[in-house]
Formats: sequence, structure tokens, C-alpha cells
Amino acid sequence: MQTKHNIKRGVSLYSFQEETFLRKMSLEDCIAKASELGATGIQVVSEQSMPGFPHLSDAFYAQWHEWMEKYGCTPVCHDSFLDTKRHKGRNLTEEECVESVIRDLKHASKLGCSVMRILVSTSPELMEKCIPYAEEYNVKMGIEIHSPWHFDQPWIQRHIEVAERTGTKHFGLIPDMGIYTKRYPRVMKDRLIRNGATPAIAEYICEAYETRIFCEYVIFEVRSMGGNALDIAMAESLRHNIWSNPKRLLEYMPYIFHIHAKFYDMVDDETEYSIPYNEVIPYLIQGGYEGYLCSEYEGNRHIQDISEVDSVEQVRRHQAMMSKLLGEGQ
Amino acid sequence: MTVATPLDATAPPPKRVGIVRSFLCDEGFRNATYKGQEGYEVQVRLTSYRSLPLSCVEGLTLKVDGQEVSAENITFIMNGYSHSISELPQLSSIWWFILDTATLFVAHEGGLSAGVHEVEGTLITVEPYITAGRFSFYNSAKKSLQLEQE
Repeated sequence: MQTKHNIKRGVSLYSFQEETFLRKMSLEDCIAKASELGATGIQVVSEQSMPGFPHLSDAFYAQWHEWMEKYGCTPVCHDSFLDTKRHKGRNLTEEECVESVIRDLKHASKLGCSVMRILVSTSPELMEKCIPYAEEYNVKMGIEIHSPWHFDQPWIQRHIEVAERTGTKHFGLIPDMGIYTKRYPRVMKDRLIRNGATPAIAEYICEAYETRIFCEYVIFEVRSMGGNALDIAMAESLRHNIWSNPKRLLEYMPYIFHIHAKFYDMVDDETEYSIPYNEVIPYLIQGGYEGYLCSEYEGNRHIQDISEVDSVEQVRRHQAMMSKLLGEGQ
Repeated sequence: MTVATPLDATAPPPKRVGIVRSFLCDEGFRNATYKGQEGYEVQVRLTSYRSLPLSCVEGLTLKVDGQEVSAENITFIMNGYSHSISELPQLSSIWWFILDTATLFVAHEGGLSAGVHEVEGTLITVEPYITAGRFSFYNSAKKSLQLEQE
């Protein structure tokens, strides 16, 4: 197995959203913890972590850079949003969308982030209009390949065409590891059962997912079984989960400069219950990927009704797993 | 989402520790006067995972001791600014940060009687970045709150 590579580990502070919301961890605590767990890159959802965003003072940015230095971290990615429905009764105009992207590019640049996440729903036309600004602020815009989208999906292909045709270095792809959900996440299944889904039907849906039965057939079957509203909702959730072939990373590697290392449930220091990182990371090494893998824990929302959420322990395990798969310390 | 039902009727219901992420805060329920009006205050929080402009608050309802509170009697106070509930849809430049507590002042002559009151609230928000449709998220909470001493 090839082990020489230049892949770095990071943490999305989104991972600590439960502790943030419960005021157990401040923004500085989140950065310090990421560093303590061995990560060197920081990814952030600014509306979640930065009080006052989008109106931040110069003092805030100065403080941010002090923290980066203090904890030996590099700001990597600002996860931008495009709030097309922020005004009641009308959508943003195209001009306003461009303004919103520029606002975020400036912010990412002030944070020192070299990358900005663009929501998958953003149109290729809008991206093409924004490329000159991304070049001006020297921030790479990456379309998030988020489940159920995947590399070969026609909408993503149109984005890749823009990147190819313009030849820009400032527009590309950010795969979210949720596109490699091989098994239905058990934290999601258990939560749906607690909310009223029928255990036997939930079991059937998980098996059907693992055998890759077309989701519409599963939804049809669950309706035929007389499934309740939660059973049908669980079957419909298959429309939003996907296992795609990690080999495809090789072909699209020239356009990949950042990765959201999504996870739901670390069983131990080696295993994510539903996403087999051991089947994905070797392709990143083989393809010569040179960016960060930023841990993005999203299991909290599925367990917060029943147990204390320990995002720090989940991220610790995830970092330990990635470190091992990257062959660090060997 | 429907209410959780225990799988085994003999098993105790799950302990719901996550409830602390509730729309209704435990603290700060007290009688108050605001702009010369008598009434009481309830503290509330945004339940979305990211901050939202106030225009994305689609609805905000309150019930105290089973009685629906009229929206006209509620003043939404955040970071020193106050707004009526009917003004919220216009406020697309004022952001509600996820850690900011907002105060709902309810005009109510004489305030509430001392002791415990049943407080129920629902916050309806829109995630403004979701492309398809205008998805509303309902966050309901019900608490028995002790009226704090002024």
C-alpha cells in the first residue's frame, strides 16, 4: 500500500455544535480542543461559531489569528451559505446572490481561509459569475458534493464543466464523505424507532439499503406493509443517502482541494459505523490528494433526545482513525 | 416528529437530557413592567443549528396555563432592541445568533400570580438556504416554570 502523501487532518468546529449551544465550549475552547486532538486545520460555520456574523469587527479577526497562532492551527475552510430565502415573500435576485458570495469571500479571506464551501444547490451559472471575485480574494470556491449528489450526477457534471472550461484554479469540488454511507447509520435508525417507527420495518429498510435496492421500491414496499408515518419517513430518507464508488475520486482529483470528513457514529478508534473510511482514504493517497480531511461530526442531532452528546470523544476517535489510515507515526 | 413512545411498555421511558436545547429557557421567568405596562417575561432561544435573520422566524406562539397569548401582547426583545411579532418578517438584516437569549415580554395586567405556571411555546423557523419549497421547522416546548421573585 502506498503511504507517502501530503494529506493533513483538520476539524470542522461544526462538530462541537452541541457543546457550543449548551455553552460548555467557547470558540476558543473548540479551536484548542481541535489542536489537542492532533488536527492542524480549522473549518468553520461562521453563523454558528462567530457571534455577530456577518458583522464582525477587526478586533474579532485579530483575536481569531491570535488563537490560530496560539494553538498552532491553520484556518482552512469557511462553510458559506446562500440564504436565498432570507427575505419574506421573495427570493434573492441574482445580483444579491453574487453580493452574498462576495461578502463570504471577503470574510473567508479575512479569516485566512484558502477554501470556501459552496452549497451544492448553487447554480453553475452563479458560480461562473463569482469566479473573478474568488480569484481577486484568492479563495477557492468548492461545490460541496453532498449526499445524495455524487460526482457523476448531471448537476455536478455541469459544475465540473465550468471548472474545466474556465480553467480557473479557484473553483472546484469539496466531497463530503457522507457520499460513502455504506450502511444506514444506526443512530438515525434508533432515533426513528424512538420517535415511533416500527422496529421490524426499520430493520427491513436498513437491509434494503445495504442491498442497494432502488429507494423508490423500498418506499413502495413500506407503504404496502402498512408502515406508519415514521416508517415512510425513514424509507424516504433513503433518497438522501448514498454509497458511491470511492474509486471515482481518482478521476476528479484535479478539482478536489478540500474534504468534509463527515461522520455520524464512531464505534471505536478504528470504525465509523456506516462510512468505511478504510475503503476511501487509500484512493486519496493514490490520487495524490494534498488538502485537509476535516472531521465533521453530525451524530449529535440523532442522539440528543436520549443521551448526553460527547462530540469531543467522537472527534478524538475520528482523528485517531484517520491518523492510522494515513499511516502517521509509521 | 411525533412524541417518543417506549418500545417496551414495561421499560421506563428514555431520559430526555437533550431537552436543554429547548426553545424555552428555565431561567428568567418573572413579572416585569415594560414601557409602563405590567406583565411578565419568558426567555427563549433559537433552536436552529445556525443563526438566522429574524425574517426567518415564521411563527412564535405562547400559551400560559393553557391560555393562548395573543401575538399583539408579545414584545420580542433582543440585544436591547424590541420588536412586535408582526414586525419580524421585515427584519431580514437583524440576526438572531444561536447563543443569544431573547426576552418575550407579555403585557398582562397585574402580572402572574406567584408559584408555578405551565408554559408552552412553539417557534417556527425557515432555513433560508434550502432550495426546494419553504421548509418550516417546528420547535415546541412545554415546561412548568416557577415564577422568579422580582
